[in-house]
Amino acid sequence: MKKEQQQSPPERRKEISAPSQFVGVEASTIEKIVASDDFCRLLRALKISRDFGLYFVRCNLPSYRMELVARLRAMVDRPVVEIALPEDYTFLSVLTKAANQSPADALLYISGLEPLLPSYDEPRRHQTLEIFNWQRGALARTHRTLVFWVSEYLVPLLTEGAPDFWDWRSGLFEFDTPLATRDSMFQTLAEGEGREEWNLSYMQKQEWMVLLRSLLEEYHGTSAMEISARGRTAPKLGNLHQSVGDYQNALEYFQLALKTYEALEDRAELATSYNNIGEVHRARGDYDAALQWYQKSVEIKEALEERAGLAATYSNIGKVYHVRGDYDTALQWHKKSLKIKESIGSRVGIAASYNEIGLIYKARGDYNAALQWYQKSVEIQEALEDRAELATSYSNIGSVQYARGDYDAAMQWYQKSLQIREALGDRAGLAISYSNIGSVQYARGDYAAAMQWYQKSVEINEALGNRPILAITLHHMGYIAKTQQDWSTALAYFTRSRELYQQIGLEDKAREQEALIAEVKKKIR
Amino acid sequence: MIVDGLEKMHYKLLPEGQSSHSVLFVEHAEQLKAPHCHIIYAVPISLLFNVNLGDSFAETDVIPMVKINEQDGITPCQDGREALQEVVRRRVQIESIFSSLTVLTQLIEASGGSVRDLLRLVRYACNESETVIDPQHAESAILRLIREYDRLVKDEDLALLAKIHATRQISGDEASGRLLQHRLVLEYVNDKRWADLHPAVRLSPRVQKILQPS
Repeated sequence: MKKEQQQSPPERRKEISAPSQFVGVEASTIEKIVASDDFCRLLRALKISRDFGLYFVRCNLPSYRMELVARLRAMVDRPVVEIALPEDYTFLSVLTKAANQSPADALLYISGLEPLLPSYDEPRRHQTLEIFNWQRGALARTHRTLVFWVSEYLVPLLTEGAPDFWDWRSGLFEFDTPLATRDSMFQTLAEGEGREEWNLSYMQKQEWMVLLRSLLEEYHGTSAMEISARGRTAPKLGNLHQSVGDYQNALEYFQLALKTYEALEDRAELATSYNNIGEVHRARGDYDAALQWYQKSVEIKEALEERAGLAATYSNIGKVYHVRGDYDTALQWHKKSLKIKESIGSRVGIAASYNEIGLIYKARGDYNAALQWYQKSVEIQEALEDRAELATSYSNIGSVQYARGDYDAAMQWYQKSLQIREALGDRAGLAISYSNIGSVQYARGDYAAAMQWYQKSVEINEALGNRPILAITLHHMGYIAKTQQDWSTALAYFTRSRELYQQIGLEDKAREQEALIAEVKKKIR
Repeated sequence: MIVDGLEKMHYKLLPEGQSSHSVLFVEHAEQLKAPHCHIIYAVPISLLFNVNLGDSFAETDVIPMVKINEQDGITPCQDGREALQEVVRRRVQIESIFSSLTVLTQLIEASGGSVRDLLRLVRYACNESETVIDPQHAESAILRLIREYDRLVKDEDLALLAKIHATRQISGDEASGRLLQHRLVLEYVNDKRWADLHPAVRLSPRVQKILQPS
């Protein structure tokens, strides 16, 4: 294990080119400058600022920002205008308009930059940075003192991405959130179990990502407590990014968690991190890598006899073999997982395994066996009143009927599943149900109805930012348009689908769309 | 005709492997030269290091930093320093805000001859004190600038920074272009071009560590 310690050697060697006063600066001196309170400096700067001034205040948590703004209001005798930037590219005109309408000596406190510069959306970030860099002149023409309140991660983004805008800064002031505020925030945000992240709306997810990352930045210390806070926050961010199909950032957060648990030598959490990283690789279709990570997770969990976790990873391994079409191996892993779940009496887990096993039989074309497994799953879930999972089982039964060509029966099961998901407000699930019903309509030859259901699914998935499902649904829609010989519509759907597959890095799927695009283009000519 | 501002173009690597900069200034050079008049374009400094602009344009010039030391790094360049002092004098009353002229010299030395950074340092120093700025206040201001530049220095830059400092020369690669673009490295001109680290970069603890021979 490597412990990092920032300490420069105390020697101060004279060097020919050094200016007279300073030869070297100790790392600790720089840290001291930052740790010391920037409040007085900010206060002085705001008191003397005239005409155009561009100030940045680094303060991660919104609640602390509000506290600081209130203190500044009380101490600086100048009118204050607070501006929350809109989350679209009108932000600059909103800002300049508000500035021009403010009193000449006003201080403008500007917040809301984070959603305009999301880490998970490169094109959007690029666009925002360009606007700042090219149109900074508009800000100068306001002749006002502009104070941008920013999170830690924005500082390097602005310095590197909008260097000319940044170069106009009259000051950067830094505030670390007081420990008590930070810790209570952590309690509410990062604690709490489960993967409820997945069912939030895209907007809610964005808010969470901003807050959690701000929080993560507050825990930059080297104490075990701070490291462990990082380790607990990072996987939440990983889940959120994964849920919007941003696998690259998901991976980075899971790897950050991994690093922190390596430092803490917490093997149980390490095993969880390995599993999470494997999940990202699986979602990306990078199955060899996924298996390697799962294997690492399994080794630790076996050694620790961490059985519940082991059952989950075994099941994940089974899923990999399933998509690869190696059904025998897949079945073995799911049965291994099932065995553990039975021995620890996890009924929820048992039902999930039954479903996975059913899926394998279905894939093999053994529909009767598949139905039997699903039925077993349903029995448990009904007893547990586990409605969310019941919806999944119903949906699976529907898909067997669909595969058999019994579209009426399929429709009935899909509708049952749909009703539960509507009642639960399970939007991610609803999108799947809509898509399934669309497929039935397609099979029945009712293309118009199919398109409508797919469209409903697309709307939800767009709102959830669920790019993987979106990509496949758009592919289906393209197919319908192609069947109807509506070439230009087909082209549009395949193109969007390809774009999404490229964004999430599923190259095979992207190429599949590419081939369809070429085919359709020929028809257009 | 002077076209200013194009240097602010965002650097972006395009899927085809070129950068947004070279697409405009190299691939579309003909269009840029199309108007029948003399034109001066401001270009991103990093571009000069990636491609040979001389192939497409009549002349390329670099506006250097104000020289504060000679190339040996010890002999002060009085002309440059006086010019910078004048820049400050036009904006503030030097005698009434600095405890002595050496305080201003301190700031000038830390600016590396970059006018923007000098004015920034003066501002920072003003934030340090209600009354007169003394050497400690100036030192504090300089530390803040060091910290800000430190954010831009990546671990993978360190070796190149050491090399530039040792040779006072900058080679024509993309990494060096980035260093110039962000002013981590400053370029000067006497008879020939030479370069050195921005003082705020050179003084940062991470860079100090690698500059000191073990």
